[in-house]
Amino acid sequence: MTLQYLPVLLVVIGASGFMAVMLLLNSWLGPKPRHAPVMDTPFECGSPMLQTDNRRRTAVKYYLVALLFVMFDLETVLLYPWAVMYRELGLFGLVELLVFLVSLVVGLTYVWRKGALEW
Amino acid sequence: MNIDLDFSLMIPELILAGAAVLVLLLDAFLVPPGPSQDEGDPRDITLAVSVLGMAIAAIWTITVLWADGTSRVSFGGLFVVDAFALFFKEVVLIGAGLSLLLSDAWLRHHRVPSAAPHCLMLLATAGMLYMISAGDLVMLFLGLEVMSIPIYCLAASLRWDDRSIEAGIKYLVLGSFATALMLFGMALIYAFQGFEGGVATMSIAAIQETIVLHDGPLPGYAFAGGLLMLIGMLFKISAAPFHMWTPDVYEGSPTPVTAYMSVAVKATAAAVILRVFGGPVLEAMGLEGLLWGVAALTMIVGNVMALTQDNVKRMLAYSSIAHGGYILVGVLAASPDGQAGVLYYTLAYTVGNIAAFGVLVHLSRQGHEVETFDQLRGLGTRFPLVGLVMTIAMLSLIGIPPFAGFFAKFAIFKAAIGSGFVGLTILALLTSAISVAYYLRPLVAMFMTEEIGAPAPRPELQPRLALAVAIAVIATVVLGVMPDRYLDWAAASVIALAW
Repeated sequence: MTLQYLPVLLVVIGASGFMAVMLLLNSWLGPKPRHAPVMDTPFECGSPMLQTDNRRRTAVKYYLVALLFVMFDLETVLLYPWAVMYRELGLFGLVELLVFLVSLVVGLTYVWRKGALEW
Repeated sequence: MNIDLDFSLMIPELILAGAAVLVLLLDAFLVPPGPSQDEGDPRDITLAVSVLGMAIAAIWTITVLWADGTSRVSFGGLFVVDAFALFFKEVVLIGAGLSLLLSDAWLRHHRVPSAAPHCLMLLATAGMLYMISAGDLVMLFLGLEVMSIPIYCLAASLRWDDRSIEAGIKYLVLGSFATALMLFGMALIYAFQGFEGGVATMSIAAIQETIVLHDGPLPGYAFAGGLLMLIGMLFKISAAPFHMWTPDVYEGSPTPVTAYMSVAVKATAAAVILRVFGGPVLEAMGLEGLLWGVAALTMIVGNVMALTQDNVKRMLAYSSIAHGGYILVGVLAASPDGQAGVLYYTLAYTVGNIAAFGVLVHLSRQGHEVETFDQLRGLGTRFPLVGLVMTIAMLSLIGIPPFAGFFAKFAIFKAAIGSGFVGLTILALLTSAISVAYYLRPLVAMFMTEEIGAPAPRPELQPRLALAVAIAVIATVVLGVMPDRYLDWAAASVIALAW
């Protein structure tokens, strides 16, 4: 019973081992900077903290593009398992997937016609 | 692949989904940007497609599927078509179709530059039908999402109106929270089924069997799971103490959307509660006392809070909470009579409520919303027909014969007494008496007071709105004068739930 989870354990060991080796290699081979006060701040990559205005405007259209991306991202999530099972599902699977794709394309057509893709 | 797939059972759902896709395409290619034109508007086409889709789905449900009579299960137990599901589908389709007709008049008044509300209503309705037919918790959850997400968008469909946005965001955040609770409950119940039932399945029937056959009280996690699932459904039916979102969302949403939410979502939630917690399940889960408390609290909160409102939509929101309480009394009765009462009640409530909201849509214009009691002053005297419709709607909601509401309440209270819930029934009667006070307020304003300031312009009559209101009013009267046939249908429908 427990033995069937052995591959999972191996993956965990492999992944964490890889991370550990990489970090060790980095500290061993990489440059060793002298201590600076900025290294004690909670977040040291990027702009210094407590700057007067750290806020920047983000274009709202990014939000729309991100939403459209999620739509096609989900499509890919469904396409992979379908491709694996393609032979067993046969014509039925093909038709089902086509229905799914057509409704996605309809959605894309709609947002495109409504001007969501205009920059 | 050897799963049975009987697509003929879900033809109404497929029609709705197909109509939604068609409306989306028509909207994309025909509706020009900009305010709605009154003549030659392509939205006539999208409305025709939507209404036709709803009508064909409703007719198919009643002629083909209902006439067949037998209960059938397909898609590996995911999809159940029985008389119980068909009755609720019919109620939901009637409510949704009439709301669609109301929404058309409203879209024109408010110059909404899109036919998207039509498409969203079709999709949400398809989700409701899937929920009602769910034989499996996974299907139930999928249906819930397909129903909820379009309704969040519908609530916010006046994008330039702060209150509409507020309604959408509130409904989205609180609705997602309730959905999450329900999902967690399903996971716990699934674990219980896996440990105690032998077979790990999400099938509602199998889980109910495991729960009922279980000796002694359920383990704590299974009780928690049932409780969380019940809370999720109580949120959708807007029962106290999970009703906080209702007044704000109902007030802020466009009026036809409010009508749609108050009738269709409530009927769907009632169907799911009956399907999942019906028969001996509620008692076996140890949730009976809790639901008793919720029903009592819901009736008190709904009816008392409705007294203090100045806005008709808010008043109707609290009234809808109160009606949710009466529906829960029927669920608690757990007898076939009680369940049949719930079915009849949802039908009666649907038509009465649509008539009331229809009056508000008829009187409202962009920039001149008729929402408060003051704005209704004198309008009944000036427009007697509008006053008559409002009178019938309010009397039916109070439960005064000869209108539909009377027999609905009568059936539920009778069943509750039959099952021994005398205290709860007395409370229900007392709160019904309270409800007279606030249901008569719009009538008093309309008939017994003078208009303030300059008289409002005479609203033009939209034929589609008139059709919807006429159907609702006639149904309210017919259900009240000749209730036998429909009560018999309701009684025949719940046989499918029999244990």
